[in-house]
Amino acid sequence: MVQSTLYRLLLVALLPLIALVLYREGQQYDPALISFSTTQSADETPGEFFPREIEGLSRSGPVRTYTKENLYEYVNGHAEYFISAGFKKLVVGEYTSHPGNEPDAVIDIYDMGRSIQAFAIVTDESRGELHEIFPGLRGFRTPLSLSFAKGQYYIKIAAFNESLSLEVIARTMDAGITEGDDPFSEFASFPDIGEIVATRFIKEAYRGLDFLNNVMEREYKVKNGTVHVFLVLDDMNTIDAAVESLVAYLKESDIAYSEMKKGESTMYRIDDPYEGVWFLISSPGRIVGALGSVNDRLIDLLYTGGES
Amino acid sequence: MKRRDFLKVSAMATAAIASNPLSAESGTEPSKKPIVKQYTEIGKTGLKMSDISYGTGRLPSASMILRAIDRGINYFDTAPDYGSSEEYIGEAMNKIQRDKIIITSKFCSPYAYPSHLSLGSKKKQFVNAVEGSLKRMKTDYMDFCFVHAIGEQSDNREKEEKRLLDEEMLSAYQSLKKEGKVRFLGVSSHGPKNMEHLLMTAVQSGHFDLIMPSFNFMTFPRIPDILKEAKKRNVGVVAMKTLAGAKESGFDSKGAPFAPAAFKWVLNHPEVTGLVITIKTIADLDLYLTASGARFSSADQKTLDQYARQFGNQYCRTGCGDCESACPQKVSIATTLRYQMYFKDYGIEKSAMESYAKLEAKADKCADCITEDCREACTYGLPVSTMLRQAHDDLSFIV
Repeated sequence: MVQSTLYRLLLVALLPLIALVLYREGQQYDPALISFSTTQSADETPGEFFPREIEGLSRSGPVRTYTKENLYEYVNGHAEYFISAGFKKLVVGEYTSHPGNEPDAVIDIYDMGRSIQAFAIVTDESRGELHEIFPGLRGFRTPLSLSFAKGQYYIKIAAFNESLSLEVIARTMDAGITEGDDPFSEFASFPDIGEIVATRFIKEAYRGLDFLNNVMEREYKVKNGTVHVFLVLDDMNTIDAAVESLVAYLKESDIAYSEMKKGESTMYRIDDPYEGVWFLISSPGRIVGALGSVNDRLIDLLYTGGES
Repeated sequence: MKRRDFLKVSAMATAAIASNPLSAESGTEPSKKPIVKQYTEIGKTGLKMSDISYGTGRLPSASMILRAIDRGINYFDTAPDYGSSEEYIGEAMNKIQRDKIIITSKFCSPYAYPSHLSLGSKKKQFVNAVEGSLKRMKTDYMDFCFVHAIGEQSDNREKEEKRLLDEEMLSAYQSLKKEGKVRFLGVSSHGPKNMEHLLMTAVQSGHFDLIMPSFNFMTFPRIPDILKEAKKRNVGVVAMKTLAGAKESGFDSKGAPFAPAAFKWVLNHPEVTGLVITIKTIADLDLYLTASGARFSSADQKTLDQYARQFGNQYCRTGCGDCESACPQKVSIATTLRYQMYFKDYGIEKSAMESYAKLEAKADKCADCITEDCREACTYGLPVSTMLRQAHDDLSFIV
């Protein structure tokens, strides 16, 4: 009886410690990229995400749907940009304060097929810097529009009435949209090494290097400074071509580097007079690299992919 | 080499690099790469700038600043509304010998372009804008601060003249100069209205040490007068928009490369101190620097002629604005087409759409226009109405 009470007391005493561990671990996730919403059924269509009413406005007219074939009718001159980024479908819902009037708000939901493609669009639109719209949701604002990504969807809210709260509309849409794919699986490739400062998508010429395109970058705050980990996921030919260009550039520029092979992976350590020492590891379908206050543990982690 | 050994050396190498800061004088880039070969004094400031200089509107990283410095570029043009440009300069600052480079920024807020301080802004706002820039760039001073894009905020010449010579701005500049936070004053313009008049006023006012006009081989019949006046009064001239629409992605001269030819044409004018050009990649740097200190040749002229033939009827001359008074709907024609140039030719789609969203007189009215007066009014015979409709379609995605 006494022993049982002691165990209970011990467990109670451990609770703050457990809470502290959970809290610390929780800080390792970028709130922009994590959704705790329930996964939707696969046959749910984005059109069902539109509520009947939002921010005092009622939905007017039918939800319009655009596919690759007719997207240009809605975004003439810009359709190719979306299609090349993985676009599947667009649904457009209009809201008005008085039936028959011009819409006060228009909401576009782009199904980009994969969460990374939706994320790429919103980060590209924000020129790489997303801001917190409200706790747990990051996005991009202009005076009369607000954009964010949720799972595989890129959502853009446009207001034509300055009194509307775009944040309220975003909150409602965010709550109603649930992911339909395997969200954020690509981001699992990023290591867990410290506090995440930001996650970015760079469409072209990462850090001025012409051959590094479609790069995801995560910036971390670590004990002795900042680390940037970058990731490219693409087909084998594209990855091979990028690595070939890197080596050619290093040779041509007389930048010292070493390379080491392990299985299908090759690691390059580059003594760059401008970036400091940085690392790039290529393997079939993927490039991962790190710059900044990089330590051996991180490189080991990236090189082995977490294998011991 | 074993993996452990491979990794261990990283700390030593990093330390070695950290103790060898880059500077404008101590290059580490091998000399086989093109470098700056010409420096010219900016007016009577005592500062000498590289003929090819860095416009940081699309600066991809701090390291690009360092690469450029090692190639001899010593003049960096930035602004608070150029994305993360000022922050990247700040990131590079601890590796830079500050007194070896020239940094210019703008009286501007760090929001989407254009965020220039408007007429009616108070002295404190001008001071705060500069202090915000200095903080982001981690430096105690900027060499030049610009009244930016004069002629853009209003069609009204007198109103823009007031902005140019605004007492609140001039008073802020004097205070900042006294405190050593700004050394010299500049003004830039890409029109669309009254560019030549406003820049001439700036030169003749005696307040400005440097002007930055749009200037390239395809336009600007009245610019030479301003250049002469600037030379006479010892006011520096830094050219921008030198690529005349930057349509080179669809252009193969089969002769002299286009961009260096266009730069050489600009630098061939003795009144021009230097030019700023957006440098996004190392390949850009390699290409653009081939024009430094180089003579403008007949092969270059041939390339420019070919470009003019191919794109002359598509390029809306930045800074012109002659057609605008013809539009009964008062559409901001030149600005719309400049944003379209940013969208299509510069490839900065999102930024262009954001800027267009802020424009009051958009080209949506052109869809139903039947008179098409702008078409007749274009000095260069451009199909203005068609171009405006296309521009509106391209740019209007973001509301």
